[in-house]
Amino acid sequence: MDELQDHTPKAEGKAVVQSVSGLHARPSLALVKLAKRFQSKIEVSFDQAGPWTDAKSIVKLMRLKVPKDATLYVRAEGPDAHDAVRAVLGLIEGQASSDG
Amino acid sequence: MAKLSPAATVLKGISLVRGIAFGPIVRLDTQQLKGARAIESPSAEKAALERAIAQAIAELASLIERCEDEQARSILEFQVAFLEDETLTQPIFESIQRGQPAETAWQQGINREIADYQASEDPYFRDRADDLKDIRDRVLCKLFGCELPKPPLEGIVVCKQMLPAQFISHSWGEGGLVVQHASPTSHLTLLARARGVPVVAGIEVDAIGEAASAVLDGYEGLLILDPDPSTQAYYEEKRGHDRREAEQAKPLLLKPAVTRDGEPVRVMVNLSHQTELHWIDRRSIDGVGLVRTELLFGALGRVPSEEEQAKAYGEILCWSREKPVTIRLFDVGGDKSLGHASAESSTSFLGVRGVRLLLRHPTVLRTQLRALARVRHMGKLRVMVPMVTLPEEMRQCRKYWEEAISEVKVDGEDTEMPPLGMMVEVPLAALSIEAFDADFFSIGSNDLLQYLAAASRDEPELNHLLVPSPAALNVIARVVSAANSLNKPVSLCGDLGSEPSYVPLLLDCGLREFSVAPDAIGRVKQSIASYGRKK
Repeated sequence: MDELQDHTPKAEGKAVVQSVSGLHARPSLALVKLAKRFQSKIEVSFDQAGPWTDAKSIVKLMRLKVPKDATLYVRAEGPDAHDAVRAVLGLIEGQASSDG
Repeated sequence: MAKLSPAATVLKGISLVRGIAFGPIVRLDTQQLKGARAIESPSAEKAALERAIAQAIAELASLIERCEDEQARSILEFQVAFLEDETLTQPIFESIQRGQPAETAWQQGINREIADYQASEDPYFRDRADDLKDIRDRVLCKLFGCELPKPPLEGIVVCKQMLPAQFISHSWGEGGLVVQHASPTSHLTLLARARGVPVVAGIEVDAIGEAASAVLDGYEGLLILDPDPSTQAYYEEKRGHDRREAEQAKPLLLKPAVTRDGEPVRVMVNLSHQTELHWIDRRSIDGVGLVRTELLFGALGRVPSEEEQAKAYGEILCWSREKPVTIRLFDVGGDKSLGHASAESSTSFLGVRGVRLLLRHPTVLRTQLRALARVRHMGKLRVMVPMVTLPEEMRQCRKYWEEAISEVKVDGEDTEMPPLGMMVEVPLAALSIEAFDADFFSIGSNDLLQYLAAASRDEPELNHLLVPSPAALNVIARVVSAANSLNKPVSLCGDLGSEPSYVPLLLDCGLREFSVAPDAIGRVKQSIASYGRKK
């Protein structure tokens, strides 16, 4: 770890996936689109210890095949890390009725 | 009404999207995309693939622009996002640098992803493999400078497989689709349903032979080849009738059913497949009155595992939320089978079927009850036993059910013991429901009528005996009043309840809870709304 990173804002949190069929095509795409709006590096994982997956890549996110009711950890690193984590958690939890 | 001619050649498939279509048969060429192009230096190959991907993205973008259906648009956007993702393309470009031709590197790279989706246990993810095949072929076409096959405007399109973007780029008009391979949860099915294009799957393309035109019956999953004028007329009439009816029932669909006197009637839905959850409007029903579990897994050809069952039941309970869901134990035998359990059973309606068969296969029964016990906290579950004849059968089922509940722990606080009820379809049971240890009753009118009349449902010449005669209505009225005096819920889940002309007769019997076919909800509510006792 270099020194610079120690000053970079970091944030993390977790949320339970509400989308009916997990994070399949549409919810994953929504997540990627949202993540790309932030400068921060944003990652998700099933486990607080990792491995972490880049939330800005649809290919990587879909490889996770996140099922409904899974707990997803989210962490971000960058100038807008706190906003990024808050937004991503909101999206994961708020997709109760999205499908497709 | 015109008659369906018995002479026509009829192919039977699986209905994926309901509705009727007719017209010329259009065969889509689905042979593998091939092309010849000169292989160049790695850097030229990389540039060629980059160009092809950019062209594919541009093509998808213009489709997105013209696309009015929100769901279709999101599928196309998903495909664009994949093509733009370096995680996908980077390793492919690296293979090209190592000397692979562009098309080989592209196919290998994306086929790896496709294989990964196909290996998924979750059908939603498995079906996304189609989206990747779609973009694979689109890019290959650009590389080879060819076009994806496009269906023409009218008629019934027949193909082995159709990819989502292919479906979207076509304006379907009044047409329909026959595919050899398609799954009920595929994007193709969802898109076709949203657009109202009837789809039948599971018909061998080769079986269609040289037929020039056809009628597609998306209700029954039939393809009728070269129909004669009377068949054609029958379906034209049916389509017109269905459309008028759907139009009329629309205003009532989402409202609770009440008679003209203001008396509430509960209208539930019969489910035979999870895909129905995608198009039934949850607001239009008071719950699920019957889940035909033997049909839910019909495509498996074997008895599903506890996990498979729990997943399917859980999905329905989650969808239904606070509204009750009545799941019927496997009703195998008669006209339905389920892998090996049916192989040794008689196919006779009077044979070893329903609970008779389940009690002879305790492992199958236990597995199903355990799967149900596992999801009991996910909604308002009710469990129903089919073909009960004697009180002893219910006593045994109750024992197995209590066993399953005590074995399978679920999260959260103590959930109540879900009610265990029975189908009332055997006359012996219908005449003595007081004697049964059941928490609720559901009248299976199809079987009850055939048993009362001693006339098989399979015998077309005896259909006139299977109407609700005064005697049959007497039996139904007896069941309803006995259940009422026991203070136990009673409903009717047979086809009788889905037929608007019979609804008043059943209301006369005192019945106030119906469970009907998904497409009958509107017309049944309409029939209820016009029912009122003469003063």
